Amino acid sequence: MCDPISIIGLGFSIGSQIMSMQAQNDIANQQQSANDQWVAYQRRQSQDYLQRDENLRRNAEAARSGSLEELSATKQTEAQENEAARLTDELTSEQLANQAEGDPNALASAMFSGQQNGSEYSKTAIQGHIQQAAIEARKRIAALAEVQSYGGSQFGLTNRANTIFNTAGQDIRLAGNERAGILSAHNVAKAVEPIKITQGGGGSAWGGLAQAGAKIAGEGLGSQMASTMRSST
Amino acid sequence: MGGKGGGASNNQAVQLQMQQAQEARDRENARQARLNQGKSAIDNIFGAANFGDAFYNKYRDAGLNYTMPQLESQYADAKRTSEADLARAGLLRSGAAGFVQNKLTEQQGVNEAALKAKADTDTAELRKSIAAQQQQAYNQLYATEDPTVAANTAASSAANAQLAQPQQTALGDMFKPIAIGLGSAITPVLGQAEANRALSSGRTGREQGSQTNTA
Repeated sequence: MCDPISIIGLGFSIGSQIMSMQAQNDIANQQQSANDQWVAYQRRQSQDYLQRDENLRRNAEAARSGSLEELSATKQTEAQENEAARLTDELTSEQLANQAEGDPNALASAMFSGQQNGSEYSKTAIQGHIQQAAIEARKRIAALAEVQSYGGSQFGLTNRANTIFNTAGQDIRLAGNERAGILSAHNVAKAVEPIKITQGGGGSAWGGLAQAGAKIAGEGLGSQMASTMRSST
Repeated sequence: MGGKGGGASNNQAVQLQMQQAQEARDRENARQARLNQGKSAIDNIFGAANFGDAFYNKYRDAGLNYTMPQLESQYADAKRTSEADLARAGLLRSGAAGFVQNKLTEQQGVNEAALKAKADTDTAELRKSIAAQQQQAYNQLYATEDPTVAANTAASSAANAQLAQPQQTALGDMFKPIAIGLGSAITPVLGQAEANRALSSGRTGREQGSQTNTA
């Protein structure tokens, strides 16, 4: 006959083993759930980051392409011509403009005092010279205005281009700074690891009990087997 | 990382990482395509078709249109003054007159060349300025596509394109005054020996280097 203590130990060991397996199964399920949550979290974070980064990149791109459009040859030439016209107007005195257009009063004012009393023929000739000189001066002023319109005048090409670049640059740098920030935040999110479920006291206790039961059963059965062998000899 | 809960979970994490890697590759391909497209657009805008010789010649011509009339005017004045002085001294048809004419012509040629050279270097500055604009456009393209570049671009953007300003003031006296009628007056200009020679040839009615027929 078997030792009842051994049988109890064996039964206890089997029961404890079953309980231990159930506990391990629970842990695996919890870990699976934790991993699912982690994957979902990472996906959400990644999508959110990409969306925000793309929005900021588009802001920067809008600023950049807008500035580039303003710097096309057509726009720059148009701006230069407008600036040249503005400068020509600014630089030409009203008196000179009137003289170039043949205004009699303006021409007379440029004559020497004695010349006013000369013959009409000589006065006309002198005034013709003055008008011609005014026309030549206007041409040169226009040339000066054109030269200035390329460079450092208020709205000259170089100043205009710098203003355009600086304005766009501010938007691009803002977007770049924000993109760098959200990238840092995203890297922190990427470093988040899934929850690690470890076997607590319950599971290991069932394992220990199963082991103890098995030991008792093993010892009982072993001693019984030994006595059976002795009696048979 | 994930995958500690068994084969299925590990597979899920690997799938996520593979998907993210594929998305990163796609994004990089798109980024490179945008860079190439952006660079082509910049090259086109700042290329010879738009900013060609016609654009730069217009600037050079404007500069010359401002300076050359001053030179022409001063040359005309100097010539007229010399003619009057020579006439007063009775040297209009003389070797001295020829010498003065030579000096004026020489100065006119040299001055004209100097002004044209200045206009040319001014135009080169404009080319540099446009090239700097192109570089700025490239910088902004890379800053747009790569946020880490944006900070570096901020520092360089302070050094904006500058166009060295060409001659805008009156040219000043481009011709040395040549006093005529007195030997002492022309000496500083011509040098003592040349003045003596010019004046003596003028008084004898002989052009410098001309043959005298004594037969």
